[in-house]
Amino acid sequence: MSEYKTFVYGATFWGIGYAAASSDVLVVDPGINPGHEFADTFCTKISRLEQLQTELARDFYSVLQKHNAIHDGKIHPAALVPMLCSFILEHKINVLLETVLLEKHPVCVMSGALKWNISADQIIDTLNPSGTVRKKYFNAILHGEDNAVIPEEYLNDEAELPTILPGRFPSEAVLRYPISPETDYACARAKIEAFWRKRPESLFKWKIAVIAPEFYEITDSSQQKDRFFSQGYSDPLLAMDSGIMEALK
Amino acid sequence: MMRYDIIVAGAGTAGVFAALSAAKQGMNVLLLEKTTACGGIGTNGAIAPYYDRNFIDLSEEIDKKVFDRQENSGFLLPLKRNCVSTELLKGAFEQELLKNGVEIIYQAVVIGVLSDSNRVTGLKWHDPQGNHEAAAAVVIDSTADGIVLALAGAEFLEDGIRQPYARIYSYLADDSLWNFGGDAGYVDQDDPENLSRECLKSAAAQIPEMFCEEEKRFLTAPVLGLREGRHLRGCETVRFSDIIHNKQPENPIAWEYANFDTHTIDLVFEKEDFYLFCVTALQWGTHFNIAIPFGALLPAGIEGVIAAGRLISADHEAAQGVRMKGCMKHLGTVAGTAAVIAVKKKISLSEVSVQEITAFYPLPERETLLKQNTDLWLTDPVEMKENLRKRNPGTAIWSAYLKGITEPLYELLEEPGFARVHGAFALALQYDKHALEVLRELAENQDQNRSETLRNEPIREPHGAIAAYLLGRLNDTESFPLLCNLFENSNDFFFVSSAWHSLLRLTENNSELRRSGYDILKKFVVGQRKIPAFRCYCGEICDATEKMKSITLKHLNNITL
Repeated sequence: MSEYKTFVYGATFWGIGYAAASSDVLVVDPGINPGHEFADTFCTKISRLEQLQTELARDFYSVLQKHNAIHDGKIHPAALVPMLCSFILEHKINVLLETVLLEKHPVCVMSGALKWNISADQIIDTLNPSGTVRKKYFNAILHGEDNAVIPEEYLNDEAELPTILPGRFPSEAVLRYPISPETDYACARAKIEAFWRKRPESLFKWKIAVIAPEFYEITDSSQQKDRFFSQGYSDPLLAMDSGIMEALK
Repeated sequence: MMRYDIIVAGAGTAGVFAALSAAKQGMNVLLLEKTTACGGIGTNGAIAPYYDRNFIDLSEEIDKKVFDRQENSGFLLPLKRNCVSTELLKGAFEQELLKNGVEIIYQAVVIGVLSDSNRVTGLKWHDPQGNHEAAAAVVIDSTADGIVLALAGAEFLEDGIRQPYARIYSYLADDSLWNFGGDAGYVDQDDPENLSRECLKSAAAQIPEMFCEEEKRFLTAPVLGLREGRHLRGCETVRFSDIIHNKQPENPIAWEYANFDTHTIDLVFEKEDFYLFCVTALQWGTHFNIAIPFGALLPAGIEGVIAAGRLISADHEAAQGVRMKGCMKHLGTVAGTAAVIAVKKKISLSEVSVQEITAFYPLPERETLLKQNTDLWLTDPVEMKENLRKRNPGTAIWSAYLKGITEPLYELLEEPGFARVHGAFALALQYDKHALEVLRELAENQDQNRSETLRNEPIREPHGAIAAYLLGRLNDTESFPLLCNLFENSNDFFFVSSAWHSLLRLTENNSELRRSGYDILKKFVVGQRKIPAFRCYCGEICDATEKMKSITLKHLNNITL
């Protein structure tokens, strides 16, 4: 059995931020892409430098900026995974990817055909919200051809309607497609395809490039109660900043 | 407890086709998948093309439907090459599965098997709702890495070598969608720490100086491009040596048409016959009809479970020809069909006859396919010699070896250029020492010329390095000082590693060289010297020093001075 002071479930921005500012932490994630809760749901929003309270988060912002991944409060979503991987390596954070948490008490994890227990004083789950899911979105990255412009009516921030969020580059945008919390992946895929097939002519220049591998979920719990839930933050750097601050408490 | 006729673990290409073929024949099927979509590497892994199938497998109904839809859609960013959309394929797979009554559970990880003595009777899994279990008459392991079989205590082949993996991302290229699938090194996915390190390292290595709009990226694929993992120890095994010598099973359940698509660059570490085939005889691109026996899907000693996917019983070399998506469709269909027969007749999987399985779909005529394999090789020594004079000798080197042609090739050794090199290689394959003079000269001069494969691509290994390797095959003790010099002083990975390989052999096989060979090799193991690095396909600099030290140490431990 391996022993750690803290076990963090989710190689999320919050979890990685927490681990970067702590010692003796093991971060475990079921996927292979750290930061997937924002990267694989195609988040385009990013905090401004002055909104970040910790040096580590501000440093990460600067690296994103240096690589041309952010501009005017928007992030190029595809930059998030490689940049966070680099951050993890640089800070020598203990991360086990493709490893699933089976039990919390005691911590039991599994990777491939290997199952083992982990002893930890503290367990932090950054993947699963404690509240119920209030809103759910299935997003897609759009590519705009021939200087495509997003029609005004799709720039709304209305949670219940399909919205097009401008991306880091003029030809990059994200379709934010609302679905009911009980919708499964098969149903969501059929719906988003049907919706985009029948889109109005004003959107014809926008084509779906890829559809998100994960749902983006908003819970009904307050952030104070659910402060570990990484996707509960409005953007990846705020989540990372919060994780770092939690560790520094 | 829930009960199904068949549970399929893993919804990659093989798993989807296994579930579909079973459900279409009236079975009650549960399909478990650890990600959030069906299709595995062919969808989540962003590998859109079919290898060597002109990119689209229109022989297959689902692909055909998807291709027609994407052609007429106008709503998807077109793919750069003529491929089926991975996004539409995800939906098409699951709609077809659901239509046929398959129950799909996503984000479901297999955590255990239910068993009765040596029979698997069901599965346990974990999903976002918790832990579950269900019984099944047959379980199909389509997890690629043989997770179900490993949990059931099955035995696996112990090759210990795996293909490099790829880390794939999709991006904009020529106003189209395309995928960068750069090989990223080796990974042992059964070791969580190694797997995690490689996931991080390979993604971090793909950071550009500047992200830009012209080649903007879309997604880092959420599934790793793993080409190889565990190989089941089956009731029968697909073997490289059988394929290249056309000793194919009598009653296969599938035929594959593929080359041994190795992505390995440091082939010197592979088995000798594979090195000779790929490097010395330049046969990387040669396609064979490969027969897969039913027993390759059946684990030895365990009932109630059948394998479908790249985990089937195949040695490391043969596995490189039976791992593509087209092959996975066949294996899935076979496993699903066999499971149905076993359930309906209430017999064990090993009692299902090949004739019953193949009654569901016609296989090509065996003799025709075997003849196509035989026809690959030249039989006329005059024609062989003509080809050996070319930069691209085609199949002549391997043909001479298979047909045992030696004497007619001696005159090539007197000719200039590629003729004498290829002649010497063909002779060395047959342990003919007439090749020695040319081989020594090539190694001594560190000859940098390179021959070309059937696809007219120069191979990475220069003539001089191949010659150094072959001097060991010919047990040329006179070359010992030359090989020591190359090993210790060359700045080229291929020369150093080839000379090293030959030194290991000469030291083992010749008592008079044992002491001096031992000393040189020991000096390397305990010393600080770094082996010259080489570049991987993705441009990464690879250092084989530790690998060579480890192999050398094992070798030295077996030497009696």
